[in-house]
Amino acid sequence: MSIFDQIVIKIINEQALIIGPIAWAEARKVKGIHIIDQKAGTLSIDTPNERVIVDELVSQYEHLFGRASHEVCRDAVAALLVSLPLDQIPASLK
Amino acid sequence: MPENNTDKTNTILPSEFKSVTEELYKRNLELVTLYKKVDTLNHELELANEGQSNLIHVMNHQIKGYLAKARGIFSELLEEPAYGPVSPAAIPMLKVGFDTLTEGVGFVQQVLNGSSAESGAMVYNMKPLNFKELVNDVVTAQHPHVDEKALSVELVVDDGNYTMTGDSINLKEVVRNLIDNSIIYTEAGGLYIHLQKIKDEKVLLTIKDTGLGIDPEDMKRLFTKGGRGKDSLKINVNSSGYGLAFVRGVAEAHKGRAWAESAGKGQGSTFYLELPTTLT
Repeated sequence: MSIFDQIVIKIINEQALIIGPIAWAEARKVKGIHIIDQKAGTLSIDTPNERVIVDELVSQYEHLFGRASHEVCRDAVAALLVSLPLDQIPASLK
Repeated sequence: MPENNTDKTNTILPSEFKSVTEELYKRNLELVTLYKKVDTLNHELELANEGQSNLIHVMNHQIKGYLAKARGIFSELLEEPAYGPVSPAAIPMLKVGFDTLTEGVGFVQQVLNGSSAESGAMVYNMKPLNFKELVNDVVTAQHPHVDEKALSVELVVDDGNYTMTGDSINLKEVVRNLIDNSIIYTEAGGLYIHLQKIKDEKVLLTIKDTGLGIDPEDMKRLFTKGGRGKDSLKINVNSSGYGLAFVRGVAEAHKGRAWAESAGKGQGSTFYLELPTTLT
């Protein structure tokens, strides 16, 4: 599982804690995210646009739930971003 | 027009919708944040409790070792001729020392047993036993304590087969604990002990006393570690508060239960021990 897969899963799971299954429904709307098994929390994301896909996922939540949801995404993946070079970090999470 | 008015009140503008969803999101986020804090605190509390239990256990083991060693020295001095004759004036003092240390070892052992039984760490030796004989033995052994306080004791055993599977040593200690408890907290009157079979599946031991009774507040934590009644130390200065925790722990390990009833302070108490005859 790539680091971007992990970032996307972490964001969806964190949003699901707050808004429930809607988090998964909204993630499905993002082009390039393919949910394999919602219960098991497995998915795949298209390459090579992973950073853009993460940005779009963050934006999808922000569009509906506002700035607070953006902060939730950022906090959720803070530990995962440590292992990424600066130029690889999606703009929405910087 | 009325129709237009209705349409207007039912229409939610996109900006209004967004402000509602954002507000709901923020409230949910607050709840989730609180939930996470509570969860973390619970986890920390569990770790602290576990640490405290381990510390108590280790300390009690150590204390028991020191007390047992000291008791051994008193015993040797009293009984071992190799140490030479003991001055007759010193003998009563040595006996007091020996008895006090024996009580101390018993006290610490009760804490250890109660703690192990409640946490499920106690090891049991389950074998066929006759519960009627076991109860009879304990009641007989408790007679000197009953006589000492000029109390009455009546044991009634219903007809039936009282063969069951259990750990005889621990069950004996459970019955002794329950009867001893009633004796300690009864100043006048006495005990009525009733053993009966419930269908063919269970045995029920009931110990009714005319003692101090149990305050409803104390009742809630009576069978927990250190859960003695708030006035119990006035009556029983040696109360470890672990006796009834041991009783419940052993009863549950036998897939049974132990509980108490009381109309309140000064109204006497009734203790119950219900055990299945088989463990399957």
